[in-house]
Amino acid sequence: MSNTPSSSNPLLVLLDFVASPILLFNAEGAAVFSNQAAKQMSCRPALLLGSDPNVLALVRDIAAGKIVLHLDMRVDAMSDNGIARLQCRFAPRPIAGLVAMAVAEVALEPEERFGGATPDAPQRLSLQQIMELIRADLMPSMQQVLNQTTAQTLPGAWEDIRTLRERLDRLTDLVNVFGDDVLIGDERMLLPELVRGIAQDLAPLAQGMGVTFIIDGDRDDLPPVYGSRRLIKRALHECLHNAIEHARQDAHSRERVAVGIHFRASGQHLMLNIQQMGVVSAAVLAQHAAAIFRPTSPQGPAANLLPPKLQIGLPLTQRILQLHGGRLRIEDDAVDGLSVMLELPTGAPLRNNQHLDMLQAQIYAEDLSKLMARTRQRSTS
Amino acid sequence: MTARILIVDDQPDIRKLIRLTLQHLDDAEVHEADNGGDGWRLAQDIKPDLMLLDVMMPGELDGYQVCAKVKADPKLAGQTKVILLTARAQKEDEEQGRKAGADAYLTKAFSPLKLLDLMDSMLGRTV
Repeated sequence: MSNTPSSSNPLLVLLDFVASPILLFNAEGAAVFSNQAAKQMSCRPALLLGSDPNVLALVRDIAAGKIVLHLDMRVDAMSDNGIARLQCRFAPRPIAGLVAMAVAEVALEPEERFGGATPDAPQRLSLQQIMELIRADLMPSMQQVLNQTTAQTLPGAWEDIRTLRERLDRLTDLVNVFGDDVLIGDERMLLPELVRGIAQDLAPLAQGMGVTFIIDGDRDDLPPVYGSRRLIKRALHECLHNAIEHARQDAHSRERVAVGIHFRASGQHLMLNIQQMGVVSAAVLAQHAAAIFRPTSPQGPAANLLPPKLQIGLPLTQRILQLHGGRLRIEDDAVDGLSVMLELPTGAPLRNNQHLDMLQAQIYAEDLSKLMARTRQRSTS
Repeated sequence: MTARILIVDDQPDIRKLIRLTLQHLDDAEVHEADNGGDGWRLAQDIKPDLMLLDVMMPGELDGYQVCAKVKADPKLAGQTKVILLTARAQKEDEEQGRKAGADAYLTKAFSPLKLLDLMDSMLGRTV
């Protein structure tokens, strides 16, 4: 095996599919193969690592079966572009007598790249990290007060702290979603289920303000959405909270008002329409009896659950939907009134990696000879 | 008898890998779809003996939903076995697969040998 065209060797063809840079070493420690991803690295890892004495020693140990665990090491080496820092992970067992290593280049600070590292320079924190520090600093004291009191013993303080905690979470979410490294995740969510949970959480506020939720279109076969459950819950919470806050406009104090929540699948999108229905008569409520949301558990006090007046709900929701590939539209129609339309793509996000991950390639490579033997056995029997 | 197998996965490399693996299975007619909606329509059309179904796919239907539809369809339920393929190895994910009616649940990265054995046993063949 060598760094010559690999089209005839199925293992090498397979490794070329892998998106991560992979090197193969022979038992003597010489780099004998780089996959396509490794060849595209400007620091030429085969050259840098093939001459590193620590790498050489580890390769020999793995080839001899002395190491049977995944092993990580970091190597700083001088490349054409200055210092290159490489994160290397060895596969625990040799594949076809060769030792495989996945390589990733780790970013360096500009002063490190040219050899002038400044270890005493103060560590820089991102805004997200600062928010997390503030949150970690304040939360325990708030939680302690909440644990020691109840809504009954000190209702004012209890509600104030709950509100404060909620605002802090909201600010943390705001900073996080506008940060550089937002992690969206791939949790599977059924939106109707989430909406019902939030309607339940907001029931004290809704009841206190005389607002009824009318939910329809939440069929069992609506497509799921994937992403961050916490963030999507946050966006829905903001929208429903806002809908309650604005539901009583132009209504007299004793009139019942309603907010309509309607689900609809459209192509590869799930639409959620939150509409101000204004004052509703008993007849209209009776007409929607089956769709009226009825909270299931006893409600807490409503008086102090007033919506926070921070005007961050809209950009926060817009950003969360944007991060999930969706969008928010606000329509103010003379006939239908004010409505908010949330649109989210259904199903999992499109995976851009056209390549096998290393583990799958390794397992396939390990099974390859057994598969071929099995086929031979079948064809001769 | 030739087994009709339908691979539904949005990742072309995984479909390619499964195709490579199925070369080692006797008498298989292999079909592919790259999303749940097309997979479901193709399943209704070709009535496969076995479906290899990725769980997380973009679009109108994910793997759980396609599986539930197959198992709820009287023309397919008795005939089509479903193996869910997924990178999600949590117990609740497997439970979700069971609820959808899947016959087996295989976690990525999977062993091609294990996949072949599973398929052989589902198709009632001896290894």
